[in-house]
Amino acid sequence: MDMKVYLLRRLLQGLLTLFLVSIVIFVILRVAPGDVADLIVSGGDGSGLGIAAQEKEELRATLGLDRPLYRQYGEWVWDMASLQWGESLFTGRSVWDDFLRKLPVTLQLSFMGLFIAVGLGVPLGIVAALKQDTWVDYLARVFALGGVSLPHFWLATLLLLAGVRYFTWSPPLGYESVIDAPWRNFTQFVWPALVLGYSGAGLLSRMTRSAVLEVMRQEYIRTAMAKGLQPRAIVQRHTLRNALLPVITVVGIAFAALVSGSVVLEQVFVLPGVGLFLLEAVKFRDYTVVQPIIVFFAAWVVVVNLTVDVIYTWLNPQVRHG
Amino acid sequence: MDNAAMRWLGDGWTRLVRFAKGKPLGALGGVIVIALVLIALLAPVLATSDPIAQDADSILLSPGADHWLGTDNLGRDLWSRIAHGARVSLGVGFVSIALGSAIGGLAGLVGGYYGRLADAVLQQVSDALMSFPTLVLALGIVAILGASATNVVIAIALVQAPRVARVVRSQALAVKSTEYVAASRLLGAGSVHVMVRHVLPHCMAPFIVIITNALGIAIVLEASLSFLGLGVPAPEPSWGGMLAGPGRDYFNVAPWMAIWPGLAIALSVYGFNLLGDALRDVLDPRQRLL
Repeated sequence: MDMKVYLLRRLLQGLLTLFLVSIVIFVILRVAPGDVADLIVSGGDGSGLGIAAQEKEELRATLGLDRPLYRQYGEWVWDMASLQWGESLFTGRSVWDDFLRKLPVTLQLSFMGLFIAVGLGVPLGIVAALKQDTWVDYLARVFALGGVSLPHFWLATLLLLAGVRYFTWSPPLGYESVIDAPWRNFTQFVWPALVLGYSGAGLLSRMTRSAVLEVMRQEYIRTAMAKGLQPRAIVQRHTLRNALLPVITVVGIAFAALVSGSVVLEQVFVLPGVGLFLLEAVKFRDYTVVQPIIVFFAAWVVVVNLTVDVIYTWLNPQVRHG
Repeated sequence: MDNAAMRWLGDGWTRLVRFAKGKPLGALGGVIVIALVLIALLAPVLATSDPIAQDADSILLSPGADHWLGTDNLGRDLWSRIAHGARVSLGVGFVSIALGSAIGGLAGLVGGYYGRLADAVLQQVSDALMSFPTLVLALGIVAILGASATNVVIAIALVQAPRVARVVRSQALAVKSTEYVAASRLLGAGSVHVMVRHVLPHCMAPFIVIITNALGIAIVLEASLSFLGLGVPAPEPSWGGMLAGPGRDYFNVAPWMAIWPGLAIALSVYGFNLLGDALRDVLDPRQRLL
């Protein structure tokens, strides 16, 4: 298949996924018993039954809940896409402005985490596969499985606890931007990024290991060995080149996992990012904030996966030359 | 006991021993999982005191003879809370994965078997569901439905369903074009018969593998939600909840409060992952990449 046609199809598919994502969110928000107005009025636990019916109707009208569903959906999607995200029900501030201010925090945390995850996980996975069933492999796998199994919030809690108890040290909580105070910013981000990176590295090294093992079983590797190539040359020229392609796809998957982790870590390390924004909004049932932020997270994952696929296509001669 | 049953039992035992010898780490995972299930089932017997009862006379006691794992800032016995917490964790885990695999399994079966439009639609919907970071989707659902054990179950089920659907679908696709399915149809078997008698049994191996791993993920998700204060509400003893809330201020003077619940989560997830990995190697070598 022609690469351009393929990329175009992939792009359309990404758009379709985004469309369905928006439907899913819309449906989830509408299948709630009663509607959003009920939830806001009742405070979620049915405690606010005394609120006047008229007041509720007014709220419903402001939120546009009295219009037909397809129109509600159309307007909602348009608002999301044109960045008219409205104001927070709780603080009354513009959701888009708040979001923009918080976005750099989440981006920095995610990319630092991803950097550590890739830098640690991929080499570890390669070494584990090349030394399959030796103690190196076992150690690497136990380490990797720890990254997958240990919950972020516990690792982070232990880190803070150990620092305070044994080193009378605690990482600087809170946030200063990288431009104003680069060093302080680094000390604030490095710990949550390490926790995030470790779990990402666990996932990545497991997948890298299986990808390399898969390639090592292929016939062209046996051919290379049979014709007497140096093991080093086989690994460099054949095994790794072929194994690292699927790993690129895996980085996309790991990235989605990192996003979940960053929500929790922003809470523990008091980093005012988009994740913490979402958490606070969920706690206060601030729907005008919850909706666009969830859309954002899903869209972000879709875009990352799309980018990963484009890179994959570009690097993979099989697809490139059709 | 008749001979057939004896042989079946003996066979099972031999297989179990072989599995344990070939996959020592997997066997370790199995032991952890079994221990966990036993603790959850026997929690009322194993607990040395009421997991919720506060006791002003025994606040922040370190682990000892009376309180094996110590007590928390409200004087509650941590061992009893951990044991009862196992019920919450495993209960939420099992129920949500059962629900999720029922939904996902049915969708995957129907999509893979019928193909065409049903398949295309189901595939797209599960792609869309899978593009949410798991915790974010769960948060969204809890935001709407409110924080409770039931809603955590619903959230986790919806998060896991598409993953099950994908595995079952690929299996259904492979089986439906086999000769024995064609033969069965020629003999007049209907779609439901083919799906239940031929396709479903073939899905079991990858299915068992994916739900073992999914249980680990479910436990982490429940713990994360409870940790964030959006899962199982206090004072119900949930492992994630024990690491959150006002108790955090006491971790410095009573580190056992922070260590045991986290260890319980980590060990259970580790157990499910070890078991899942070993089962995958044995049952379903082709799924290794996942």
